[in-house]
Amino acid sequence: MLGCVAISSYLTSLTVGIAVLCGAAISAFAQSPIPRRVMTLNMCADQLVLDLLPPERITSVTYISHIASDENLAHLAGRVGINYGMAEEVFAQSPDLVIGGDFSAPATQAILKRAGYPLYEMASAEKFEAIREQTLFVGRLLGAETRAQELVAEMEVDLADLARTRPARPISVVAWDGSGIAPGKGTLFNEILNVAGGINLAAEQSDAYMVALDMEELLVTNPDILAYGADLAMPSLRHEPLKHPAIQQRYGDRQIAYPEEQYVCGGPQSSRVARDLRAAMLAVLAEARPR
Amino acid sequence: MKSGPLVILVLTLLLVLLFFISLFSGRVWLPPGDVLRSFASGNDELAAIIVHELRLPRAVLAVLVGASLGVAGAVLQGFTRNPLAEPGLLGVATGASLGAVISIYFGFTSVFALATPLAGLLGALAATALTFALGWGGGSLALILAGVAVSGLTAALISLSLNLAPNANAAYEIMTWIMGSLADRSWDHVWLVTPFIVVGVIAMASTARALDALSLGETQAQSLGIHLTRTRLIILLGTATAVGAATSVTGAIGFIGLVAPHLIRPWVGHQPSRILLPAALAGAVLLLGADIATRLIRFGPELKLGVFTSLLGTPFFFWLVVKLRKTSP
Repeated sequence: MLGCVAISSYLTSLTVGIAVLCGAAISAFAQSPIPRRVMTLNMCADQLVLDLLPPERITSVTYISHIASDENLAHLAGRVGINYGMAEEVFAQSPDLVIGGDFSAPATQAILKRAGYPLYEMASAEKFEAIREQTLFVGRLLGAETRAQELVAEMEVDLADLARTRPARPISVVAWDGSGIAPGKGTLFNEILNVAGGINLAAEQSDAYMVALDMEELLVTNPDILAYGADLAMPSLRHEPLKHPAIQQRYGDRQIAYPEEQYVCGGPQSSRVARDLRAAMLAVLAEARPR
Repeated sequence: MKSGPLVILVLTLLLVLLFFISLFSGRVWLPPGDVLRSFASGNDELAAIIVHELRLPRAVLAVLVGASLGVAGAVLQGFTRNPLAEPGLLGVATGASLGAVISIYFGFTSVFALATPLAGLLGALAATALTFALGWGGGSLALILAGVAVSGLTAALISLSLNLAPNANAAYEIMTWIMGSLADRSWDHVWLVTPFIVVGVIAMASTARALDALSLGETQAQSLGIHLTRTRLIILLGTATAVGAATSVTGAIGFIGLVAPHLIRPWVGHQPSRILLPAALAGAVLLLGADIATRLIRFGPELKLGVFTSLLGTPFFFWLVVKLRKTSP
């Protein structure tokens, strides 16, 4: 899928058809095959493109990255323009290449496709294998192969470290925040947790991508640690159940807050996320009352 | 009507039975022996936590909320002399939702725990006051229409507060919350709403004599010494207090208030004061029964209580409309 790129001119609707089938449409440019100015409509693409390219080659990234709670990302985004995923913004900024994603601005992407605009739809990567391939592929696409290889190499070092220092017994975890749904098989959370030395009990129970799990079921599943998506700065209903006496009694000292926004987009930075998760899990278990 | 006490007895027995059943129903199957033993053993075992901290407060809340919805429906139907009146139609429930939504999303909840029920209460009071003010003097039809208008306004304001809420997940969360549910509520919620519900229900019940007189018409009631303005005010405050507090903890739960009085009228007659207690019991039975059903019917995530009651209640509403069409010219 990633390697499937159709190089076409604006005129041939036939090639656009093929490109759509391939899931990735890149139109060629008369002068240079490397896009000079790139615009992204997807927050996952934002992060990768900001890591790969110098700011002068990025026309804009989404507003989401501009207000990200990840300071590093917000800082990088602050050096380039902003967009709200609107087709008119694409026409106004006229980049050489637009990078969208699975879920971002579907109506806008449809308009861009109809207009034959150069658009690459980046699939979400939820496995480190896919992250590796995707980073190298987008690196080639943007003419930033060397930088992409650096990013992948840094990621490999983290992954090798994590594998070497893996806890003897996997730490059992359920990511549960009271919404009644826990990430299961195939989620980025599951992948990062496994690399960090944990085992996701929700994924053990069911093959579903998101596993329905209410409070009773959580208590019976009985993981070592309860991880909840932390967005505590924003008032939210989701964390209300964490205050429930039943949860406090069992998991009062066995909770970790994980920065949920870092578990949305798989990218080279995900190995650092796994490193942080490992450290958080070990710290909680060191303090918790033994069971 | 002679069967009043019998109806009360039957409903009470049914309620006790359902209460008992609800302790055994959940997504996790606990052997009945473990459930019973949990009352004898300490509080550390898993079965004890599940029964005492999850299922018991949930059942108690279902009874309290169901009863207050039942009484509110009976009082409003008696007062407006309109069989379609219920807290949801008069904007009480949506007003409470609006108050709770504002409190939750703009962070008042983190300031002090009572903020959400109080905001629910204020929202319900404001919405009900607006409904009563708009529909004043225009008869019960005007009151219902005013309720529809106020519900529309509060729904729009809920959407507005979602639109402006600082949290990106807000829209999804509040959609789910508005569906209404008793899942994962604790004793804290019970203690929080009980005083409001008790005060509200007592206030509503205190209008029983006035409601009986009002069934003869407003002029006749006044000639019998009923103070209309005061009755109206007590009903306004009572429904807003009880239903406002209930909604702020459970989200919107529709149709219980509409259906409960109708279910028991064939047995206890149409005198408003005789309907109040059976309607409270019927409301509690309906809500507890519905809550048990949501736990036992499984399609993946738990079916939301408010969705379930609305699905069951809407056909009843259709039936009422058809019946009204037949009986009225």
